[in-house]
Amino acid sequence: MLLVASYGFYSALKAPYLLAVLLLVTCLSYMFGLRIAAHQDEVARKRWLLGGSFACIAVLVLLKYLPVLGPDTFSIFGLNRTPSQTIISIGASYYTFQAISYLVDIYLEIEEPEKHFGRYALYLAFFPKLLQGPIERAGDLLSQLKQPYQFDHDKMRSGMILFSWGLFKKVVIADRLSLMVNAVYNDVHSFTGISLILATYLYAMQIYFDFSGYTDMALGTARMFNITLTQNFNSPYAATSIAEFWRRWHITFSRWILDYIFKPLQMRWREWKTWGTASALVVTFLVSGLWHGASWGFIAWGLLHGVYLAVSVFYKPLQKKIHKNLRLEKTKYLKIWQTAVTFNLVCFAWIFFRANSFSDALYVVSHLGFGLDNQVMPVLLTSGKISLSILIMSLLMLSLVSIAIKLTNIKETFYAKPLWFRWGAYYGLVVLSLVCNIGVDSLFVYFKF
Amino acid sequence: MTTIETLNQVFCLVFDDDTLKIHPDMTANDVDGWDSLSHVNLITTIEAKFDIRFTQKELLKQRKVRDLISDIDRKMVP
Amino acid sequence: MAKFTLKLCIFCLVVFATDYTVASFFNDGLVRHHGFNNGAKVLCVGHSRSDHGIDRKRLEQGLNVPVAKYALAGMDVFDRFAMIQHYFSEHPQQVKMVVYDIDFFTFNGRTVTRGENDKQYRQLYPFMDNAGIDDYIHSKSTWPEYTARKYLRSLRYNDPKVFARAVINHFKTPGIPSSKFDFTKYKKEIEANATRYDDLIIDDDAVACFKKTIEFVRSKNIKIAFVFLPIVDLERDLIDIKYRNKVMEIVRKYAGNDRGIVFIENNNKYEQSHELFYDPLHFNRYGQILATDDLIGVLKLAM
Repeated sequence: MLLVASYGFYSALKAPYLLAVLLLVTCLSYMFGLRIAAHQDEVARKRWLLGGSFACIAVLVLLKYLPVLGPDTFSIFGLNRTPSQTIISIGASYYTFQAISYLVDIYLEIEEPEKHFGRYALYLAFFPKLLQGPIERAGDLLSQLKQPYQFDHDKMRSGMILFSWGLFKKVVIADRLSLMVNAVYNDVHSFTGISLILATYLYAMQIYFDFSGYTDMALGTARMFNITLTQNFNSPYAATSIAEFWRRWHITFSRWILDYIFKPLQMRWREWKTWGTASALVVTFLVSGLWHGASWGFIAWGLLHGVYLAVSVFYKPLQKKIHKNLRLEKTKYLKIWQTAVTFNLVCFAWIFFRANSFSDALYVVSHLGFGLDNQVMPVLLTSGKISLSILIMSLLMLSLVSIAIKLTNIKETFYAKPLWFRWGAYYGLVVLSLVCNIGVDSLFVYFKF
Repeated sequence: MTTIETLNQVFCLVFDDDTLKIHPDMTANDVDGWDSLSHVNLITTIEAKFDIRFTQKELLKQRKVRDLISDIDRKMVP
Repeated sequence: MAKFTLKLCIFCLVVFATDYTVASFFNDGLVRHHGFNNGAKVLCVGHSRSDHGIDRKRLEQGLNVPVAKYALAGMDVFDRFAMIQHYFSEHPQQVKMVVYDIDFFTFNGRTVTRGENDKQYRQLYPFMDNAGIDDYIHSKSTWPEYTARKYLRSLRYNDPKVFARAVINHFKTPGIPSSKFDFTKYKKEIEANATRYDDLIIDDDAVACFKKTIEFVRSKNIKIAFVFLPIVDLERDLIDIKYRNKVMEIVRKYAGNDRGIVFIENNNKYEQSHELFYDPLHFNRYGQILATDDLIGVLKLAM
């Protein structure tokens, strides 16, 4: 039943070819999965694995890059107008990767292939995670799908709260930030120096609230059905190194590229010791950049992160020595310093991610230090003073709640409070989202991937 | 020496800790400093010491020390 | 489970009630801003240049009659026709004069002004209760966007400009900025980039709509004042002079054929006065005062 709903959801996007692609990938990987398991011979198994993975990737690449080759190709599929750039491959990158992880897990004998086609199809198409992930492993999601559904009041309730919380983050905070960021990044040549820096920091916040807001909505919705999806974020900007950043940002994606690209490569090149690891890192993150899109901006972004990590691999032993000699190890100051450096490195990379073109990105990079243009206030006031105050108050509220959750057991005490208090809080959240949301064109940022 | 004793020696060498004592159920979480980089060092040192070579598949499946031991033993059989 | 569902239903009802109340609050703010429901005798229709070019309260004081200003950013000929029909359907008898702004882009079929695009119809969502506006929006929007706003009324106000207007007008009448734009910097930019408006056309549909608008207003025996709103001379020179003359000719023709229509062209005297402009296309507060006073002078005679 959920399957029908999921397919219904996907089809609401009014792009029937997407349904076809999903079905195609589902059938392919289902079939290949069974084939891998059916064989005992190592070579045959490997062949089926490679075949299956290649097929899935081919479908994905075709879907993503076909429009680039020529808009006429769409008329082959009987479409008389090209869907928007964003919609074109929505969700495909996510479930394709999920399918590949399924195949590899069968090959490695970590998982058994799913015989029930319906359940397997749902594993890929489950609507809360269909559009933007998280990328679920077979072990995590398939086993949950096997349980029959029973109404669970607490899960239903906390799922709804989580959903509303994510919605709030997205429509009130992320969208507001996007207006300010767009004012600068859609017209970079009118700005210089400090407003470029400001816009980049704002973008770092925007993309976090956008994506984690969506993830909350996805996890919340799934929880309403008693399904626990994997958490995708864990205070990413609190990371003290780029490596740690990737353990906290888009967790399911980085785990995927770690397990299925980095580890095999690293092992293959283990003779080259540190160089092997460094190269594996660069290649892995190059792939990550390409997965996000076929533009030089994304490639540069991926490459940048790959280089950051590669350098840190070489630098680590030296870094340990320096910290020991200066007696900074495990001090509070070191942690703050590392967090600040990491955050700025990440923001620098975001420039390439967000800029509308590679030349725009280069402009931003070359003009970061050029002092004060008097555009900071106008940028902040892009949508007016009221909008800015709503933003600031929302951020304050969010910070207070997050701090409270971390430092106290507010989650339990909240549910113990009287009815009117709790429902009053829900009411406040929903009404705020309703009233203070901002109408913007952009869909979720990570929809495009 | 048994496999596990030799292996223990390798661990002590790679992690620079003579007091380290491994057991079959140990995983990377249990040893300080066992990350992906030191894991590569561990593997190459094991391969050199036992004069063997792991396959890609074996490497990706290894999760606990016991997996290492069984893979080594399997390869040592003449 | 039943208890939970019941709680949820009551919750939804309460949220909808709040939504309705908040939307009414916003609507009230907008009505105050535009001067609807005042029994206006003069209706000004246009886009952001009218907003910057005409001071409603000042016009009211000068003419001594209530004035409504229905000017939203980016509204083109088609939008304005919908807006005029909307206003007249709600207030059938009162208006004696319609003031309609004209610029070089009126017949281009789409508004060519900085940073605006064809999503400007979204500013009309607050007036969705009017059947005419509802149909108009429906023809331009996507299904999810339209439906969401039909049932969740607060969403109609979530365009940032609309939101700001809806709130502020409860507390004060917002004025436009008084800052001047940086003329020398702009001159350098133009010389460096040399972007001309080379793709302007006279769109037949736009002209037809314009004609329909005139017929509609005149059929009610209401006078029309077409006001030419100037842009900075640097900007104006980026448009081919032959095209400019064509635009003016079209309007002059309509004005010439009908004694109830007047074409106020002399604002082009401000094109060289850069200190009156907030950006190359819009008046600032000082420009607004001067332009409004001029308008008062002409309308007093015309009405």
